[in-house]
Amino acid sequence: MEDLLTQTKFDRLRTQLNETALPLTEVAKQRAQSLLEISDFPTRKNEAWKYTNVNGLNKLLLNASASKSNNKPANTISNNGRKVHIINGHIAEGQTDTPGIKTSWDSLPERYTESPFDALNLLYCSCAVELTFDDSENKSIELVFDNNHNTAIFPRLFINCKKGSKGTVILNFQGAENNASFINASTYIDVGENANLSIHKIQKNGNDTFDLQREYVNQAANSSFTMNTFPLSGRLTRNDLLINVNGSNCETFMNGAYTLKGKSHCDNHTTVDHKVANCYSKELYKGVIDDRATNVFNGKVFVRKDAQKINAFQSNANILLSETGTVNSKPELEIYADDVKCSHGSTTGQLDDEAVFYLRSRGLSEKSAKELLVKAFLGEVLEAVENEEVSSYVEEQIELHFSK
Amino acid sequence: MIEIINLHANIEGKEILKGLTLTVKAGEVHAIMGPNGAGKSTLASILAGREEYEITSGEVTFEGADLLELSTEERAHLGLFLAFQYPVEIPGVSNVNFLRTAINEIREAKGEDSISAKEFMAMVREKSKIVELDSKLASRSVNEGFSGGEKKRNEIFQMAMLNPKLAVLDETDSGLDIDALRIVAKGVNTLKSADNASIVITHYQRLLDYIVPDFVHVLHDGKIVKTGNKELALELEEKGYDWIKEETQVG
Repeated sequence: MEDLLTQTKFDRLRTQLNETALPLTEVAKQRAQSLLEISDFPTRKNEAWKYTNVNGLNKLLLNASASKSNNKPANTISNNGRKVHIINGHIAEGQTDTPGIKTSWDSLPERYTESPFDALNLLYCSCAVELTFDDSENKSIELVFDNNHNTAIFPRLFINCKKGSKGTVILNFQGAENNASFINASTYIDVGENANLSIHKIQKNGNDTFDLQREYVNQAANSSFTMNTFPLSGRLTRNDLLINVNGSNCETFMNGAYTLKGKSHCDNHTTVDHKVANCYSKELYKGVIDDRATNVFNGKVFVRKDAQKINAFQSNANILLSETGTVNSKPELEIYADDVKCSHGSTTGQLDDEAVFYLRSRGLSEKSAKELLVKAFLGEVLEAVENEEVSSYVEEQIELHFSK
Repeated sequence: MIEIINLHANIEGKEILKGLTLTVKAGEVHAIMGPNGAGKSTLASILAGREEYEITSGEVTFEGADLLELSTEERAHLGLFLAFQYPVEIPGVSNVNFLRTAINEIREAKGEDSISAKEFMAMVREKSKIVELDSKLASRSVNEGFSGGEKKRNEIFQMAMLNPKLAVLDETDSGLDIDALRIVAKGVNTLKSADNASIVITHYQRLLDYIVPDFVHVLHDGKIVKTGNKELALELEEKGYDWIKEETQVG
């Protein structure tokens, strides 16, 4: 009885999870344990979770013994470049370490972050992958997460783009249509001096999947970092992107496009923290919301004291395709320096009825007229995506989204 | 081609059309003139299928079909075209892309094969010449950043591409300088044939110097009150609309 009274929602969730098989140090384990012991699921009282409720996690039935082999080929986006296939959260059989890709461990890199979900990720980690770029060739690595079983998928990723190097990473989450998994990913990204790293994240999850991901980025001087995020489907998707710009003369680009329908809930929280002077950041998130879907956007830009000559731009635009969709958009600027150029904007509206009528009067059906307008609206984000395989994949998915 | 019988229509409870009757046959050009507020643009909007109007009575038969029962796109599939008084700017949607989709949806509705890329591009080149529309404009976003004249030329370019049975030109002359007017009119005249027809809605006579109508109708207070030939347009230009109003009241 006492147990039930003191049991937290995390405790209940943990009864469904298998402890990680990866080698954790006792210290790391203890630290994660104690953080979880004093934590519970975030509630609306927690500002960062005001509009996103994760209680549904405890209604998932997670199967502990999910298959690690898959006779179907991976749904890859890139034709060339190296790939790592991760099936139901586990590295596919036959994957061996190669220069730049590490998936087997004697000891995991120590990274501690305050979120109880990171602690959960560590204790129940289903796979850990480290990607390293150490030359200027701009190699591409795609991580394909094939999820066809209702299970816990807890990837822990380390991406290092070393001094003067260039790299492209595609994080491709593919869930079977009715998949009801719990994805909980922690990703640690280091962009070295003069390095240039682009990450494209596709979240095409099953309709009942919960996907909580956090990316922690550190940028050194003269580096360029791009994060493109495409939450395309899923029951609940929450992305926390935190970028610390620690060195001067950096560029940071954050782009996002989302297509929500049914009862989908999508929440993108981004923070770019300009700690030093002479940097540029640009953020553009756009999406369409249909049916009873909900979108949450919270974009924070910090410009610290003495971080002069910062140019930071942020924009979030939403189109509601139904009367029952919801958008909560909150751009936030906190500026402590006086010689900066920053702007932010947020808009939520509907498709222009006049434009729909105009296109229909030329013979387009209402559906194709709307589809054309939505593609044009999201096109601005896709134009910012330099990788053509990724942008054409997302464009195809937008078309599919409308054909269903 | 089209037969409008005793059409009555309201918007927000206010009656705008009060028994309009008009028949247009293939090969004909009809001008509809009239003072502001007579219902000219309402007629164009209703023909194109704008949903904010309520039809209280009357019939419209187009190519044998009950026009009022059809959706906007179905009317386009049957060959109705509206040149807008205020063409909409649609950022991010390329002019040629959307026209190709439109042509293909019209062809699909007729059970025809879709147009090949080669055939389509040849058509773009040919038709853009008719209205002297720069081919760069043809491939830009629909009307985005176009001047008033370019927008109207783009309307006629689209009309040329879609090759409608009946074109309704809603105040196409408004906001045009004389050169643009001449180009637009030349486009309309080039497209004229024995199989198609147009309804030219205008406030001023000046467009009719370039597009010569077979019939001129005066629309006043929701009805056609006078019908004549092109001489009627000249008479209206000279005397204004007041005598029509008075004549109607006396009658």
